[in-house]
Amino acid sequence: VPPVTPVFTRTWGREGGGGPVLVMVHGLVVAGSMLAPSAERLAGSVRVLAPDLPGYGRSRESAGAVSVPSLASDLLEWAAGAQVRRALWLGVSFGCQVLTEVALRRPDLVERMVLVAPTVDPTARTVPRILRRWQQESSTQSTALKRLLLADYARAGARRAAGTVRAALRDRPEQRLPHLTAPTLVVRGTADPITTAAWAQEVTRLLPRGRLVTVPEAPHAMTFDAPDALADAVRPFLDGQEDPL
Amino acid sequence: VKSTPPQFVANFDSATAMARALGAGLRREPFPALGEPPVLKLPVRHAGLLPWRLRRALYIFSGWQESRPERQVADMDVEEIARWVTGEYPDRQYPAVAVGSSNGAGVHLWNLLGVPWLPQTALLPVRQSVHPDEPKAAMEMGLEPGRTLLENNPDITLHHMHDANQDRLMIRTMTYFRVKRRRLGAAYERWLAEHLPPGGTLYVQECEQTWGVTRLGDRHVFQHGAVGGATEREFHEGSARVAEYLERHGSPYREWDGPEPTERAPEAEWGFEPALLDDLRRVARERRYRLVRLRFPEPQALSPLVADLYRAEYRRRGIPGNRLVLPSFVVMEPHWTLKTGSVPFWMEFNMQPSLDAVHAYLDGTEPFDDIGLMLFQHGVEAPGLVPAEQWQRLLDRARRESRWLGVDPDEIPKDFAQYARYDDAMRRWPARHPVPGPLPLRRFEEHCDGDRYRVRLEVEQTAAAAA
Repeated sequence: VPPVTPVFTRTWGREGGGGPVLVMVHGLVVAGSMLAPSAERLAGSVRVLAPDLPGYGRSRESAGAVSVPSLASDLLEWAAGAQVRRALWLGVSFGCQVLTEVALRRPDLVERMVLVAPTVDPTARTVPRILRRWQQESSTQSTALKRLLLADYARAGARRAAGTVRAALRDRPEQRLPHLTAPTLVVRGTADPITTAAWAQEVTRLLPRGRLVTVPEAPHAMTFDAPDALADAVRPFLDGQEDPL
Repeated sequence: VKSTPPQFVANFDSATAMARALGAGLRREPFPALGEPPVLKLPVRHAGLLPWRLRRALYIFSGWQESRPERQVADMDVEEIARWVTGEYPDRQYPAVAVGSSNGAGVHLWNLLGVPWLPQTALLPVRQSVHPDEPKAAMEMGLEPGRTLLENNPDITLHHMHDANQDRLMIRTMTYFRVKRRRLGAAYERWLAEHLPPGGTLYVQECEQTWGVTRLGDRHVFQHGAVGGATEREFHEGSARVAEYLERHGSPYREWDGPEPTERAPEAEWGFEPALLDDLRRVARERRYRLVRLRFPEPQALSPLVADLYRAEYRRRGIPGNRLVLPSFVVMEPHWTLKTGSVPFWMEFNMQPSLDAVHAYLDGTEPFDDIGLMLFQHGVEAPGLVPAEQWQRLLDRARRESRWLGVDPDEIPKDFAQYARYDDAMRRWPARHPVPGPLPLRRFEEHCDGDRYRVRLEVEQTAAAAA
């Protein structure tokens, strides 16, 4: 069993140097391991950092109730410690909720950001509805992903998992989006039952500088199960070759 | 189901009671028994049957059991208070949230606007016994627990308050520690992030009342006396009526020999500690809030503004708005005030300055048909206490009908049964109106324009500028 550190961070790409940094923010309960396939592909021109938020994955220490604002505070604290100043950011699923809260509070830290399969669609903000969508989603998951899910849910524990679901459902990201000024790319896979096409469009519309890209056949967990297609979709944006609006 | 405040916070604290009163108002519920379990109403209602000495002993005991032994000071964490307070308010999104000083007119204002208020101040009474007329001894006794409290709570200022006038019955068994937040703290900040969306308004309720204090440390002051009956000067220098008061209570002293004040500080109970502003500015910037400061020189300065706003809004809705109710200290009924179409004019306590403020208000406004009086009861005939005849003369200014709302004028200031009666008295007074939805903030802010009131509304940061 590896030692538990307050925030366990995975990194890809070269150490040091002044090149751009990409911070990846994991989704609900499932921590940084699920980001690895995409991180490997994106690391090259950028250095990738993927922290496991406190209470998840290998960062198991955390106090108090879970909420999007408190996770954003945790992430900001981590960023200060990791010397992250201005960076590229990529959030996945529930991680987009935390990331947009970070971007609201500290626009200076966000050069551009990518919201991959952002949650939670306002029409799905009840436990039965979100459970139904999850059930639909599970048929899109690979066996390897399922194994990973089980491990990370076990690490976080049922209490923390339930608390995180509650936090995700009570949060209202649509209230923050109109205030986010960073260029933002919204990514949705067409095989994603959780992030609907309508919601992805709504997110994009609310962002002052947002653009939507759709990845054919990609599922909700595309960082793990469709990493090549995702990397191809976001690389030009991260490199600054494309500017939304 | 309502939660209770952490054990180390006094239930009789004004900030605690006011947060509960506003919470009840926002939930559209009555506020019986000052937020205590209504089952207590029955025995309290009949408290008047007991002889005075026993009644007084019960009052002292009920206060004493609210205090915590000194050894528990090390465990007091003001974040627990914030977690409790936020739980008092309905879990929904608000267009605005108020933060800052405790104020009864403010409770009625925020209830009208449907806005929750996060108190800056709280009272943490510590069990210590001292002669009420020995302020220096009281100060010295509070030093060590005060320092322990400050060490464990780096974001607060401590005002050790000693008022042998209004709090005479309480302070013989306990030390009044009033704490003020210098930072919002994690619990308030998180609650704001979840309940006040970007673009919302953060009102800062800033009472600029100060008092001469003796500095005991970086964030630690001792305040001898408090706003109310006796003047600040009387606490520090004595007077004929103070000598008479002390003699009447069998005290060996004829004046109070308090420590020399070294400076002025925000008044312990009502004053706003401006150190909090920096943190509020940061949060407003980070979350794109409008930051609007509401500044007034003393607690009751807000009362005329709120009373007039109620009256104007009733009239806009076609309700006469000709009934005045006078809540006193923490005796108030925000929900029933709206339901009966009453105009609230909040009195800081039950002393002369409160009576004067109501008279001054009535002198400058259209007469009221009905006037109802709630009156806090603290059990001490102290300098500045207003006799019943004078309250009656105030009530006589009603054009039609006046009522003592649950107070027996013959028992002032010892009618503790008042606490079990004021809400029923409000309810029994005929007149029913639908409780309106929240008043738009704009109407309140327009109402503050001009210099009719001793209240300054300053928009310090607009939501657009924050972005």
